[in-house]
Amino acid sequence: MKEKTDIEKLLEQQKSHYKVPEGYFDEIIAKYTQDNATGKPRKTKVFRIGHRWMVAAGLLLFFSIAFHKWFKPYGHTPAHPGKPAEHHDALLEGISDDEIIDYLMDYTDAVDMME
Amino acid sequence: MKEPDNLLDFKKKPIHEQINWIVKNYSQDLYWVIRPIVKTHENADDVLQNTLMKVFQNLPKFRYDSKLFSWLYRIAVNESLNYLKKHYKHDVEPDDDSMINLLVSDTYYDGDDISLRLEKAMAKLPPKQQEVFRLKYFNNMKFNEISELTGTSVGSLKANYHHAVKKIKHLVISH
Repeated sequence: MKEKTDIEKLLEQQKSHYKVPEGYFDEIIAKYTQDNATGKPRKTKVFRIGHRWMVAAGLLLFFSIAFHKWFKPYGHTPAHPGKPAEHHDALLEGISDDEIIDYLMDYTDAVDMME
Repeated sequence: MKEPDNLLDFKKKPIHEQINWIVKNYSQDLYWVIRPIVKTHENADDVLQNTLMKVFQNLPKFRYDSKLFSWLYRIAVNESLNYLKKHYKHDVEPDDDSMINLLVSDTYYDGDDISLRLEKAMAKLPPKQQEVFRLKYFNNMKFNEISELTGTSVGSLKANYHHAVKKIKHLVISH
């Protein structure tokens, strides 16, 4: 029993040879509890990721509106000069060929009379 | 080992309050879990900070189904062993003299010849016996506390401790 106590004493002495810089644990506590001192809750990872997604969604919305406003795809503007033939067809929709020919004949007759 | 008064209430607290409580109450205990494994203060400082960062990252996932300090202890030991593997490029053997040399070079260690003999003797112990010793002498823990922490029965811990004392005595005297 006495021998065990000697070893224990030796171990206790050995432990005391390990030193720690003065104020080390206070520094660790101060460093890792900063948020408490300022009263700010630590931002969670979910919030940080959510924030990035909101920025990305905002940019996407902005560019899609800008694209439609400034680079309107051809054909959305009525009577745009140089628009493709299918839009002429659309304007003449519901008018028969005979009606068109009659209109053109009347038009040429009127021009002839004026001359 | 101190635990929060009521784990259910503690779990409901905002995460930063839980972290603050852990840092204030366990930094020192965790340091003395880490230091005997990694030997120098500089290493222990690195590992303690890594351990705290890991605790912060994983605390929201911790279900409090075991004691808080048991969980922290396992993280600290794993971080210490990983640190040794990473920084000393090999698995450190229990009786590796390089760890003793590392200790001698530490400015925050002033051990004499007997202490170094004791260190070498402790380093030659099997991992289980080393663990009981570290927890008893560096963390001043009782057998029942060590049992809760490691999941080993009190009887087995006492047997390990008894064998460790015998071996240390033999190794120190025969040196």
